[in-house]
Amino acid sequence: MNNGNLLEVKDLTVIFGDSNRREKGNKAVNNVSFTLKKGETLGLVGESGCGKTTLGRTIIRLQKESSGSVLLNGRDLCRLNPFQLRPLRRQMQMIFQNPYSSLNPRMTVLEIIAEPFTGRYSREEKIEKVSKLIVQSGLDPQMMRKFPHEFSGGQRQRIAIARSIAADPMLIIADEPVSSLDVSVQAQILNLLKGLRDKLSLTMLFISHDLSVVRYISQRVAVMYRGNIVEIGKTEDLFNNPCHPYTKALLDAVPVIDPERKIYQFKSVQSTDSDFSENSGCPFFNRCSKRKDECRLEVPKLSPSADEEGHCCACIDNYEK
Amino acid sequence: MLLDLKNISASFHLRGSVVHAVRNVSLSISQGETVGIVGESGSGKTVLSLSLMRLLPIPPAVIKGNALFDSIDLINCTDREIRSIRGNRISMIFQDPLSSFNPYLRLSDQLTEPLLCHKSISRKEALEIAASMLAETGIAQPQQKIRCYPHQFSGGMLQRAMIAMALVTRPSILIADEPTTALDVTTQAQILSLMKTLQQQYSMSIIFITHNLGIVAGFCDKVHVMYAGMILESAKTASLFKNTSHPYTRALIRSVPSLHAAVDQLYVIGGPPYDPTQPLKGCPFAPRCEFRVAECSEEKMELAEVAPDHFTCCSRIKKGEISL
Repeated sequence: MNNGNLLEVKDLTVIFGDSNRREKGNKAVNNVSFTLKKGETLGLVGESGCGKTTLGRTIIRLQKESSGSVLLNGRDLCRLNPFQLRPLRRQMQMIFQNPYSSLNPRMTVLEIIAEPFTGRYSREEKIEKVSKLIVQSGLDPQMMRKFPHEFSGGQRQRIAIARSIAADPMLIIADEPVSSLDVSVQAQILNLLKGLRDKLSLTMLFISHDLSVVRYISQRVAVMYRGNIVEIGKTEDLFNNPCHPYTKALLDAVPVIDPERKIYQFKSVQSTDSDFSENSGCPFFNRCSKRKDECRLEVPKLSPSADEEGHCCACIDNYEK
Repeated sequence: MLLDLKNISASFHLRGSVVHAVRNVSLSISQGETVGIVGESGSGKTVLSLSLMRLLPIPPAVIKGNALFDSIDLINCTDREIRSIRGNRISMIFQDPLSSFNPYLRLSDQLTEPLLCHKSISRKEALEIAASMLAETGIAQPQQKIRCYPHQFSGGMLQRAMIAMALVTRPSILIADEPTTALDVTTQAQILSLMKTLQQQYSMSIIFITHNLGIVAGFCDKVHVMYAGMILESAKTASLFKNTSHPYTRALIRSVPSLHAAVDQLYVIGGPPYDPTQPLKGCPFAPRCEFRVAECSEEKMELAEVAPDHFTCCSRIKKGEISL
């Protein structure tokens, strides 16, 4: 029935604002479909405002969808009532971007990590489980009576990670978990997440704007632009052989450690400030360096690319090949 | 030399403890040059730039040393003198454009302010100069756009406006404190290319403060790597990445995930981060360094030239005991 897919997102659309009113609603997520196998990490990249966070929040039911469905293990989360959803909430956990605001300042580390256990274990069992989780996340169990303000940003993110794996979830959504951290701390947290994923065979949706971070942690990558997935594929295929002009532009714009490559000579994307009016065609039309007149006519659909399996791209040039 | 810093130290005297944010930093900048200052948060890079502009509250801050700019010592000159330089001949742009503008004032008021303060020109002339500067930063319809309020601009546009505001007085030095950290990669590339164009046009020097080694590699002529308020290594950009001569620089470079190659495990800098309230003995990076020996926490820290224009603090590299 679900052919190995843990998560299946079908035609998901989220519109903010009232679409019946004269002012059209703002489509944050537009007809997005993808699947996630068990034990797999999918990286979701895009610029700010492209809808990647909204997509994550909608999957985890923090945000109501406008249409479409989210299937977790074959059950459609969008058709469940709050009472039916409750036991499933435990199966989906989230790691947030800012560890300074995602931990309750009035709870100790023990209380924070043990919160998913509420009503299930005795106090001693809780302490034992929490100390195991703390060690797994690379902290000292002695610290569990402390409060979040006593920790640094990296340590707080470790606490948030320990909390997210406490309930043995099927799916973890990590929303920019390392973007507020320094490079050296970022490396520690990425290694921790990768290690835990391999050890506990976690399924993860990893949302980030940083392409090199996504490349490091994910097996597959999806690129979003203005609510649409414009390209999706295996990490290696997507990075070595990007199809969509937007993916190419994104890859071009990342500063890499290479003194020979001058970042300021980069020219491939046109200004964001140009006309943002609705057009019925490709969402990237206004900024694309390879646009043609046909691009205006309809929104390109994700279609398989010629060379690699599972590599799809939503560009008119991709059809013709 | 356009600007010459000698032994700049900045410390904060708090209740019972002293935080040393910058320790004995010396560096110089010549005309038209782009100098990068890299370091992690807490390395003192922002405090260094703020003390140059005399933007730190004194007390609790205590700033020592000399910063010679055109025979004026920025650190020890009178308030009147620094006011005539700050925002006029040395300008600064900040990390978060949204919180750097006054939300109550139109951009026209904020962009003309440096001109009205420093040059004796009329409001009308100032507005014209500001609008043409806005046009130079790539904003279409500057005459209309200058009447907007900051919230009507996107992040990238606001950063352009901030650059315009910093450059209306044609400064000889621009201090850019993480100017692109809050922006998307594509916008970041546009802003960097804009800064480079304007720099060449006005033969301006830029002090570029960032934590992003990729930007440093592609944008700066010279780089100073800071840790614990000290410069651990400074070199020409190409030399820094090719002949890295400090274990901390190498560790930083290795902990950045690569865009072009699959990496199995990222390099991690072990050990506790540096605590600025503790007195410093020897190398500040020694407790986390994989090449440390007992002498590392004894030796006096001094930059020495290991290759032409390439300076390092690491005593083991200086002696030739290790190579990276």
